Amino acid sequence: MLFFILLPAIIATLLIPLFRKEYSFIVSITGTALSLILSGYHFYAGFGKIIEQSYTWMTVNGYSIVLSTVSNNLTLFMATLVSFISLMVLIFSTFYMKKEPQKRFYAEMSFFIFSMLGLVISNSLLLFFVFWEFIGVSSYLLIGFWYSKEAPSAAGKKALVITRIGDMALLAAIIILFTAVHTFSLSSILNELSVIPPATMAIVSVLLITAAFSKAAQFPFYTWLIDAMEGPTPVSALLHSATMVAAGAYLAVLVLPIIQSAGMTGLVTGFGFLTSLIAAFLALRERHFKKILAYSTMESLAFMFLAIGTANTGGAVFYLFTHAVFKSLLFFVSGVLALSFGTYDIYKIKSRGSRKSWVLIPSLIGFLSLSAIPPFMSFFAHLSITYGFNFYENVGFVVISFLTALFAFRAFFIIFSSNRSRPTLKDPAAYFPVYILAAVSSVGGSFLLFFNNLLPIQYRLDMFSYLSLVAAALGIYMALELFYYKKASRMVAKLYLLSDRIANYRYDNILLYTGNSIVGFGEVVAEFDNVLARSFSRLAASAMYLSSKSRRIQNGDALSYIDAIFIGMVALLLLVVVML
Amino acid sequence: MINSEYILFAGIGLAIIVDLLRKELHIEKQFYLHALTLIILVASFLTEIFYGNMSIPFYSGAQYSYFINGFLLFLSVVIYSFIWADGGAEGSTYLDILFLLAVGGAMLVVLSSNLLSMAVAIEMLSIASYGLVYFQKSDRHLEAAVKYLTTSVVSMAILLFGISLVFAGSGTLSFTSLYNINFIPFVAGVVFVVVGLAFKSTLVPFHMWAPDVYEASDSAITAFLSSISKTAGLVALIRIFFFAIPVSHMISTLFLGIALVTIFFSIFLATVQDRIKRILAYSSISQAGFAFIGLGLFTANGLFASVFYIFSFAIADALIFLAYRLFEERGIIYRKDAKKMRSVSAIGLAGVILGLLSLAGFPPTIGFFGKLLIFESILGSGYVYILIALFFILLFSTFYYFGLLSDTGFGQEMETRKKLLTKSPRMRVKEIIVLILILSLFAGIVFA
Amino acid sequence: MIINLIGFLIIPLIGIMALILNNYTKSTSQKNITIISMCSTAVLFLVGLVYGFGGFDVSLVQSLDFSFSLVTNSLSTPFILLSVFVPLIAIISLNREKSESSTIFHIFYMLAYMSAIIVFISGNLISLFLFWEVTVLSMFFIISLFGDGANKRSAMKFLIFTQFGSLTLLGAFILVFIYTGSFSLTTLFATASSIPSIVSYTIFIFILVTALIKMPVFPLHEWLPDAYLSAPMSGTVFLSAVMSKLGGYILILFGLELFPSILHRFSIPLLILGIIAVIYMAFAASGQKNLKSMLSYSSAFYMGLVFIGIVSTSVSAVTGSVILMVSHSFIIASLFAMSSMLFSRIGTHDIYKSGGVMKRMPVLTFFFVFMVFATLGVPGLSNFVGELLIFIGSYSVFPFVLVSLVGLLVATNYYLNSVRKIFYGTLHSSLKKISDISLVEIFGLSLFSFFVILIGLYPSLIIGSFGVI
Repeated sequence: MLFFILLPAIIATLLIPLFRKEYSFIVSITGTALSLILSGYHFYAGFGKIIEQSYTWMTVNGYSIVLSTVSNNLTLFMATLVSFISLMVLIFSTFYMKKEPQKRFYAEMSFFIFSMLGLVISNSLLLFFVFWEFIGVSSYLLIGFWYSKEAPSAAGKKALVITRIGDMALLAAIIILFTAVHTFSLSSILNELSVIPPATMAIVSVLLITAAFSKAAQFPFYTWLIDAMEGPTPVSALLHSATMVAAGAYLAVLVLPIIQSAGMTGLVTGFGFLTSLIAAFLALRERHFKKILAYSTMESLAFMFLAIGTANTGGAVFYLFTHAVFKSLLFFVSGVLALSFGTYDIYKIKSRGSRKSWVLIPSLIGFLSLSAIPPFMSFFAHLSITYGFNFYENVGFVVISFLTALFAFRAFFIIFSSNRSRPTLKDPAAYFPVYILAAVSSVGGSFLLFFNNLLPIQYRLDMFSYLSLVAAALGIYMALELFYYKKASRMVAKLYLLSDRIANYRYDNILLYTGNSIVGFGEVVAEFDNVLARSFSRLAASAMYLSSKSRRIQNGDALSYIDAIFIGMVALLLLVVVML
Repeated sequence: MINSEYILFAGIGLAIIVDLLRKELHIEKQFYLHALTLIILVASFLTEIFYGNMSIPFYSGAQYSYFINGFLLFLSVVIYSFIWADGGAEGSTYLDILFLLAVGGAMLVVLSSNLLSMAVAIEMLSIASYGLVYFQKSDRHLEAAVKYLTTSVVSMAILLFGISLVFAGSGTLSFTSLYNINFIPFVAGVVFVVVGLAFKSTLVPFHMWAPDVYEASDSAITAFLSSISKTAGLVALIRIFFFAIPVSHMISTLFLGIALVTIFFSIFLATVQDRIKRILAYSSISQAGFAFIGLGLFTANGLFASVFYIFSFAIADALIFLAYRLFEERGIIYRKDAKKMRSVSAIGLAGVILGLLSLAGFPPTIGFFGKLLIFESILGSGYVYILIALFFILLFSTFYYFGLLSDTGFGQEMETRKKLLTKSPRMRVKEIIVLILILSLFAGIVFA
Repeated sequence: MIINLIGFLIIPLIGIMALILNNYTKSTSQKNITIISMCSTAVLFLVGLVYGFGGFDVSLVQSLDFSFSLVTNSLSTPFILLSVFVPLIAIISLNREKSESSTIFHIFYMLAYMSAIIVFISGNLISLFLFWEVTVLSMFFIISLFGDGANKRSAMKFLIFTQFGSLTLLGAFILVFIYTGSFSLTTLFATASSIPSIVSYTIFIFILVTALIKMPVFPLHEWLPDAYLSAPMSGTVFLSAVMSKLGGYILILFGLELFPSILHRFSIPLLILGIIAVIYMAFAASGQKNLKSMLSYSSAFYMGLVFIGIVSTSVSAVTGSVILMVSHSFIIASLFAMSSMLFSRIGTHDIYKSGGVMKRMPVLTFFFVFMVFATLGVPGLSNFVGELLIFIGSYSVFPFVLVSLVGLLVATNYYLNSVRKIFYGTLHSSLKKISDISLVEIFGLSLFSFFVILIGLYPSLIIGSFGVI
């Protein structure tokens, strides 16, 4: 029974309020560890098999509304990955969140892990949507964890509102698909694609792409991810790099046949390139360590979409895996540095002295991974991503590789460039996950060799791979020259100017404007409604006025009453005469 | 054969004789006279119940008149007992006889089958009413009585003139033979008759006397005027136009027009009044308009609805004016005083509230069923537009009904409770009478 | 042990008697009596769910076919559920109202409670109308006597609007009677086909106007902001949670089941109206600065969704509408209750004048955020099922209904905004001393949440309890 892997996490969520706050992390970690063991076991036992299980939620009008899960290599791999990363993050949290109200944090984290595990094993789109919403909600709660500060609560709200655009799009797509084929089961839908008319298909794909993009923080929606860095660092590590945002890419992987048959893959690729360019440029000028990582997450997700856009799901999933590992690593590093030096600003970290820190080597591994330098795992992932690229895409990718290495090592060199040194916090709960992830990043690339048993994956080491490598190396060299030795400061200034200019065109402002105008429109409507409501009172009041005027007829004079009788009588007579 | 009218008229004679004897024998106490009057009314009422047929069949001669006379007598008993309990009758020697005569006149209107006898009956009712309005002999009452007298005399003259024209047109005044007609004088005569009777039934624009007289009279007398006297006027119209004169579509349109104008006008004016009794007076006028709609449709359903509606609003009006009498004597005149009602009499307040609800047509009071029947007969004749117009005007009427209701403030916490006035036995009796009427407000549904 | 439906009349009436007696003896607080009699009614309902309900019929007026008849029809159960439980839980949780101690208030509250239940089980149109009017009347007095602000005016406005709706309803009933000769619901359904088409159109339009006013849906909602704002909180809860459902009930029962073909013909224009209403209400709600009026408009927004579901005439959508009505009833009641709890502590409904309340009131914040998610249609909670079924059903009729998802988006924005402004951020210096909600209030809110989760997880419980043609 596949859903057993969800149970430990949700039980942990429910149990945490019952325990003392000192023990809440034990409950949470135990639950996640159990989930990891269970999913590992399922992975082992169910390898290569496809088992669907379904539960009829309700029956309306003869249609069954079915929730179903599927266990196949992809879902089980994802489940194992998610629970592994979650375990690492939870262990790291015991270091990072020591001084915080822990019950709420661990309960929300467990709930998130439950939802994420549920999402990856869903087969029914409806169940998928259920967990998709849960993820959004837990992300909102976790980003706004420090509710009493202004920025996190605003960021949480922003994240939920923007991802909810995608949620609504996904819901609409599900409804449209259900109306067309009367089932929620993804496997059945993919079998019956031919009965869906092309126009519907196009609309559905656009909606699905919107959903995936909003969750994965791609171009028109990305601002929420940057703001989400206001949340606690474990949250950023788990939700906003490794799993939640990857859910968007995961959705795209699942529904790729629909997007393909609607011919919308070009859209995915195009936006992927756009996003990665924007992200790389914006990361270049950022001073906030976590936000640099957030931009790089955006970029990495864009890489996944590039792979998906070229119908290369294996590559996308493999990159998802590598990204989850090295990006969590980098976030952990940022968390350790921030706790030690009290800031995320890379220049401040530098000035407070971090040269001798134990995180130097892990972060180097992380940044090398990010820049796809062999033998670190990301290099192998890049080989697989670029498999389906055409010439122009390859050229573009080379440019992006250069930029990626540049901004990654800019951060690295700035952080670790000062000679001063201060002791960094050292805690088993911190270095255990960091070292494990660093180890996986170093050797994980070799998974590529036997990943094919798991999922069909192809890779190629061609001219462009070498070119990208050279570009990345060039980027690292440039970063070294520019930011470590501080040569050519005019060029740096120009670079910053360029990315500033891009930042000025940030979608953020447009979004803000849109948001404001929506709120403004709401106020206008509210005012209009107010006027409308008052107009009815006015109507009544004017009728009252009329009545009070007509009151004068009744003046108390008996003679005028007699007059009235005669007038009435004559009028009646006249009426009768006229009517005759 | 025992007949309630015989008993009543015999009783009138007896009362006159007793009154004369009383003067001869120098018995100062009028108690016996009052008791006798009440006994006459009750006996008459009981006869009506036991020997009459209280169902309302249609078009079967004067059968329905049993029902009307029955409730007229019932209301007379209630109103008379109230007047007696109120002590208003004490100073006057002629109240009993006037009251009996007025009731007798109203009953004769219901029974008459000849235009002339009807005119005589109405005259009898009217003259007795002038006296009733003035029976307490204050300036206020005198003014009201004179106003009533002057306007009423004019309308009676018009009525008689109309009857003579009808006679000129048809050569007969008997209801059963009014079909052989000479057109022009006949039609003119009918119009004059309508005007004369519309005066009694307070239809716009012949209603002008009503608010003033209603307001200035003693509330118990207002109860009489707005229920019994108005019923007589409306029933006379029913008698003439259902059982005597051949009607055409034109008359129907005319009547519906008058009815709608009445309702609109009175409700508009009621909304802006400050004095409670004046609001009630206008509301009473609008009720006549509703009853007149049922008549104006000229269908069996319409007649039935009309009769039932008259019944329902007569009870509600009687109730509300009698209940208001309890407050009037404590100086509650204006709307803004209404919040004191709670401290005077809870039962009286309940009477006012339920009476208002009935007049506004809220279930489960009898007024709702009256309106239901009226609406049903309107829709049965296909006048959807009239119905919709009525919906709107009814909405407008809620302004004053419910404005008055919330002014009474009966829900306000009873910090005034301690100030609750000690009640005299007399007050108790009056409250019991009001209670009887409240009950009949619900029990009357069985006649629907 | 079949439960006779007359119990739903008798037990509240006994409660009212007890209230009146207790007014003189003062042996316990009036609220306890109200709660006890409502609890008995709820127990009666639960027992009846297990053992079945028995009908009741006594003929009162032959000529009008007015009989006092109580039967359950295919729709009643979910509606009785909401009208039995929501006012009960609301009165339990709202214990800081100024109207608390008033006998008259409790009498009217019981009257409204009783008559709303009876409306849902009336088998005769006149008794249906009778109790329908009693709810209107009771609410009028509750607003007019116990409301705050411009209560008299609002009450009058409320009365004028709903009274117009009642009159059109009455008009429809009379037309039905004229053409079928009966006020009985069962006879009516058997003979509805004999009504000539022009008349049935008229009836349908009358019913539609009634429903539009009562629910209320966009062009006829003008009474809503005033009435909801001025009513005491328990009155607002009753208005939004029970009274508005009367409109939906009447629209399904008469609009849909009696004249399906007409509704079908008008389906598209009405759906367009519904979409406009939903979008309009969403934006109107987002422009409010007062928590109570924001919730009022939001309530109207969800009733707009219900309207869309019903007029689409699709079975799934109508099923969804009923579920949404039940679920929305619990959710909006608890939201209003919470806004009242908040108001009684911080003294303002203004969203922008408080902040950081979560620090002092974590429990309330938990429930509030929970209910906000429930109302936004997070799966697993009750609203989601209703919204999903409504959209699935109505999409096949008119694809553009998906536009109203924009409304949900706007709703997300303003709900989260209010949460952020009220509960998050730094604590206002004036609010340092406020305390969290009491156990009784937690109990009430937990009951609300229980129903929300129950319906959300097992919608089949509700779906199985009623049928739509």
